[in-house]
Amino acid sequence: MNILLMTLPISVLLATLFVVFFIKAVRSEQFDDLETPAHIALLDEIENEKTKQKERKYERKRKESLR
Amino acid sequence: MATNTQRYLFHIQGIKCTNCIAKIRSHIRKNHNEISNLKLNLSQSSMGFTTEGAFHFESLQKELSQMGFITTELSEDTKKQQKTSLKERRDFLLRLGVAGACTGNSMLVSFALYLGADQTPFKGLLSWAAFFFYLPIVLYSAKPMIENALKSLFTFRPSIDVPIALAIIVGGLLSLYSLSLGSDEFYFDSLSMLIFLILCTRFLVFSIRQSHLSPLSLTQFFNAQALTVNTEEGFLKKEIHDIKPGAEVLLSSGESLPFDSVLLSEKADFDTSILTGESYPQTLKKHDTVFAGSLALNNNIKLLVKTDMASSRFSSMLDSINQLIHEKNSLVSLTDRGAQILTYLILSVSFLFLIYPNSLDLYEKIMRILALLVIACPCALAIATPLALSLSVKSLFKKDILIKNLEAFALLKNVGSVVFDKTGTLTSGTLNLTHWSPKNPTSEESSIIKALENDSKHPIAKAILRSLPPNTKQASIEAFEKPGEGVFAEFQNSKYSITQSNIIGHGIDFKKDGKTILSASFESTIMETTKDTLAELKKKDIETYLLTGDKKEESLKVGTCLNFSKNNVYYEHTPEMKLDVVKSLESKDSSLIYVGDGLNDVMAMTSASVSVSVHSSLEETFKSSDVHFIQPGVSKILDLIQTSNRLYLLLRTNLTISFVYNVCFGALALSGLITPFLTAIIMPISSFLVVGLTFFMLESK
Repeated sequence: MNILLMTLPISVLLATLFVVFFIKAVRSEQFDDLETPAHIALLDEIENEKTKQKERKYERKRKESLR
Repeated sequence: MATNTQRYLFHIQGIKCTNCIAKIRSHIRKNHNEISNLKLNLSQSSMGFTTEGAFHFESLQKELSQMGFITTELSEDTKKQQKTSLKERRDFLLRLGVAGACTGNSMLVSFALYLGADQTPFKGLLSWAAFFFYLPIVLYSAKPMIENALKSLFTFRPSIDVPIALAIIVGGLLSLYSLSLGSDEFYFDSLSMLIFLILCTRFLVFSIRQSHLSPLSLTQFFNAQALTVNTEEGFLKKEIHDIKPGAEVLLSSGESLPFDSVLLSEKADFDTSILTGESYPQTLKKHDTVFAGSLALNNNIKLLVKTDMASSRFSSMLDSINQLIHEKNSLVSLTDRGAQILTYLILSVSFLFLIYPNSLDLYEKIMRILALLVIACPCALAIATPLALSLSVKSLFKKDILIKNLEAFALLKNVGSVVFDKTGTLTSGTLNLTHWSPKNPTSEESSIIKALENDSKHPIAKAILRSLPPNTKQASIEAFEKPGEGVFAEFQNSKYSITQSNIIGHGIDFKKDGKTILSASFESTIMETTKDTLAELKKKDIETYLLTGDKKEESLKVGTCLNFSKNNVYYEHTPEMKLDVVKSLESKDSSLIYVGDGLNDVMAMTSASVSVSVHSSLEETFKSSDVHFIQPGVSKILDLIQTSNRLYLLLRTNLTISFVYNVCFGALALSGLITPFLTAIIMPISSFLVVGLTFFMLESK
């Protein structure tokens, strides 16, 4: 049971840590808009993929011209 | 034009999905290097960015509108309101987060105790840990509740927060007392859970209200206005807040006037239905006063601004209206009334129990009262009622009904009469041609009439055009419009004109070389579903009235057409007379709904139990109404009444459950059968029961 003497402070510390992180997240406006970021995340992927595709095409053409 | 770094924030109408965001973002990335920090917010339909260097906001506005997005700059007030509401949301979240973390840990500790740790030497440590987890909740998370409770006590109107605060503070103190004596009768875990659950629902309620009633989402109904002003640099568009008395403004057809002004043009037509309720346009002459709220019907109307917005007749009327609103007794809501009864009941029962002579010692008595305080805390009232209200607001919003005042629900359960304004409410602003006399125009005449009226924006011109057969050809004539007189043209050596008729009140004459060939008369159009709605209301034994500022003849015509009984039609009423009528109609047993759209309705609205503003209402009418219909027509009134009745039924069920629960468990608490462990289980169950019932009854169709 003596283990409680160690686990209790650790759990309190962890809990405090999470609360502090939560406060920081709220203060940095991360919870102000919960809808748009989800869409924007999707969007960046599409845009990235497009650029990647373009890069791949470009790379292929470059290789073909080298041959 | 801005030259240095500037922050822009505006409302953008039409963004709905990922595609819209992608469109706007890629457009701005490609064409506007000067824009950085672009932030689009879907839930609030807003867009913000910072610019560096030269930037034309107007050109971006144009580009976006070509893409189908209408942008409106926000007023300073709206920006401020938005800022405070965001800050409020953050504060709320912090309180909720802290409460959640502390409650979780408090539960962990308490359950360790319940499950056997109280037999170990760690009992003291764990018990005090539960207390320390409770502290931040009382001191920080529950602070607004306690403050509200105190405020309501000082105004002698105990609100729902009073019994909660009582349980939190007195329950906390008694628990602390019991803890210091080494007893295990303390309720920190249950109290923490209670606060956390209440905060959860309140946050949900807050979010629903914020997303449906935030200042940003309201701007979509009323776009900020800009008018053309004659300045030294020529004619420029200026925002109405920047226009001062003495300025010369140029009004185009379709624009409405925000100030009292004097007409500088020779003649002009105005639609004043919003001010007077009259359905026909008014022709004003040079030097006539044009009151704020009038809608221009011709182009290029020159006006001299006489007053600023604050001192127009419009706003002086508003002042008297505001006074009326203050005089209107604010209702004690159902929840608060329940809370009052409950508070008094708990307090008196506790006191009686304390002084009642029996074999129990004082300590035991105090502990049992503590159990009563904790267990009798009004979960159903504090959690389920606001949730039910907010869910109803949300579901009505989906049906295009905007609830602005939650107290309206309480009054809507017992509707005895509905008073309708006519113009703009039952009838649309557009006119319809009833018939041509002596005969219908021939195809040649039709083509000339079409050519004459085609470019005019006058409501009568539009009505004439609509009445012509769809395949009518347009003769190639150049017509010119004289404001206040009519349209004139020359064709094949004959002079044609369409002018106001001298014989029929609101008819027109089609003349050839000064001789009348044809005449036509008009009536206002009744909105499509109006008749069915009124019949449905009658079926429910709800009395309907027509109350209008319009002329007798027109009002009676509409009245008979819509089956109003003759005694229930009031015409040619000024705003003050309307107010008197509403006052006389109101009875104590049932409530009265007033449905209107114009400034002439606002006074009467303040006196009605529930006021409804309809689509295309004036901003002021909208502001002073309790409910707003987003789509044209009044058919939504049935949905409104139905939802309110359902909500009322639900609230009563919840109240009954809460009452039965309190009586049963309160009695158990006083007889000493309730332990802290039992409380920790019963309280969440009862909360989830009412919340579940609320969701089930309101969300299931």
